[in-house]
Amino acid sequence: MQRNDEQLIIEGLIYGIIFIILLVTGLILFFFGTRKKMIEKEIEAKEKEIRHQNRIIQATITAQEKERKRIARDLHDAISSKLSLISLSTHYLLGSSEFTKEQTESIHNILEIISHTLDKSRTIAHNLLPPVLSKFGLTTALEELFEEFSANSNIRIKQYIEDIQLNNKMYDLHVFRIVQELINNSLKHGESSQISIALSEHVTHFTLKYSDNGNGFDTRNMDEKAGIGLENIKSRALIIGGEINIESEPEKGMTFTLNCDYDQKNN
Amino acid sequence: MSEIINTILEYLELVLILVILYLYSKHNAMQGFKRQFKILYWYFIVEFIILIGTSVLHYYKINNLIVSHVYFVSQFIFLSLFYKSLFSYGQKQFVNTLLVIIPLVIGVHFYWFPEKIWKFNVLEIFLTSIPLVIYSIIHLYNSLTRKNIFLYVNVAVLMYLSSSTLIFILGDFLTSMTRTMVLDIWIINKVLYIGYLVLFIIENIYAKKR
Repeated sequence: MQRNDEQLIIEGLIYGIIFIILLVTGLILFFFGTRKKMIEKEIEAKEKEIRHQNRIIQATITAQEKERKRIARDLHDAISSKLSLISLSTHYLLGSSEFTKEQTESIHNILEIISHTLDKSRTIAHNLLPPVLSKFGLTTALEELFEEFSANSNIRIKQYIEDIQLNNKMYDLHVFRIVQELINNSLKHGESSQISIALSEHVTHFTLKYSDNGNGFDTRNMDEKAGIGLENIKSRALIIGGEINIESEPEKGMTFTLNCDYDQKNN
Repeated sequence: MSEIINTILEYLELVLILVILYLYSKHNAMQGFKRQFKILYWYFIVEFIILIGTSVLHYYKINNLIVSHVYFVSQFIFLSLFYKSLFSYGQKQFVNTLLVIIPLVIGVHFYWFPEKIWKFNVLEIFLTSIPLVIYSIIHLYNSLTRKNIFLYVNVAVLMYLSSSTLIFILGDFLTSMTRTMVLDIWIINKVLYIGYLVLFIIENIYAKKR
């Protein structure tokens, strides 16, 4: 074979190799590009799903609060008032001298049951929606909540609550529920003995800072292990347009911060 | 000059294979991919033996092209097993079928043309390399929706096999040509092979990080 022909063949071979390498590189780059796009689409779909779920949770919480309010009102209007009327009428019966000793004793029993039922119905209505919250506002409701917890457990609560006006009863309620849930968590899961709560007002926003000395937890596992309580807190914070931050380490207690812009809450 | 470069690259290949063998010998520590690293470890043991065998035969001036058949068939078997371990059920069946048919066809081919044992066998090169390129593309396709595993090994196989197949298919033709010019082509092949080996080392580093 001529030397010139050999050179041509070798040149052809070299170009062939270069062509194949470029082709394969193109294929690999195409693969990465497609993969990136697919991942982006997947993330987008997941985010959409999360947003949808959040909306459902928020709607559920709002509906739940409305229902609680309705039941509390019905308990007060339809049951407690009727029971008070029965109690009054029964007291009137006691004034009559026509009853035997046994009959009078029965009437006393009925009165005791009515009084007990009235107390129960008030407690249920109070737990469903503390009347103090709508009558006297968030600060007083929180103070009452702390008193209740302090009286019924060994927990020590340090509070620094500023008298802030949130201008919206729904927001009062959500902040109140968040604090209630946090204290419940500290007692139930954290086994805390001391809690500190600060609610402060700033020019553009208000801040709720909560900390306990309980068991704490690893925040890296928080998303996987978050209970209903924490999910509830997150959703309520979302409803009022607040941002939450949770810092915790095992055996080192936890700190929770909620920052909420006034613009957001007035929307 | 080309001769010196060729010798240096040959030694570099041996050193890199020894590095891979050292790294892959710890395949028990590769959580989740123990089997794949084990297959690759044995693949490189055979590669190392082939490389030494070729050099020894070359030294004693014996036609070392006979070793090329062991190289192509062993490469086909080991890499097929490697890809099979990564594939889904249907794809595994495809690999199994080719694992039976291709060695059979090559066996029959050698039976009919025994003189091919002393040359490059184009049919053998084609039948043992193209399925591996196809497996590599299938794995790339699988990786679109699954976790990206053995990315570097796959890129290495796809890159090296598709370009080296072209050289090997023209192998017989090249051996009949003027030595100095042909040496350049074999140097290109060796450089590609070194890139191939380096990607296997990178895969190990990446797997450890994972």
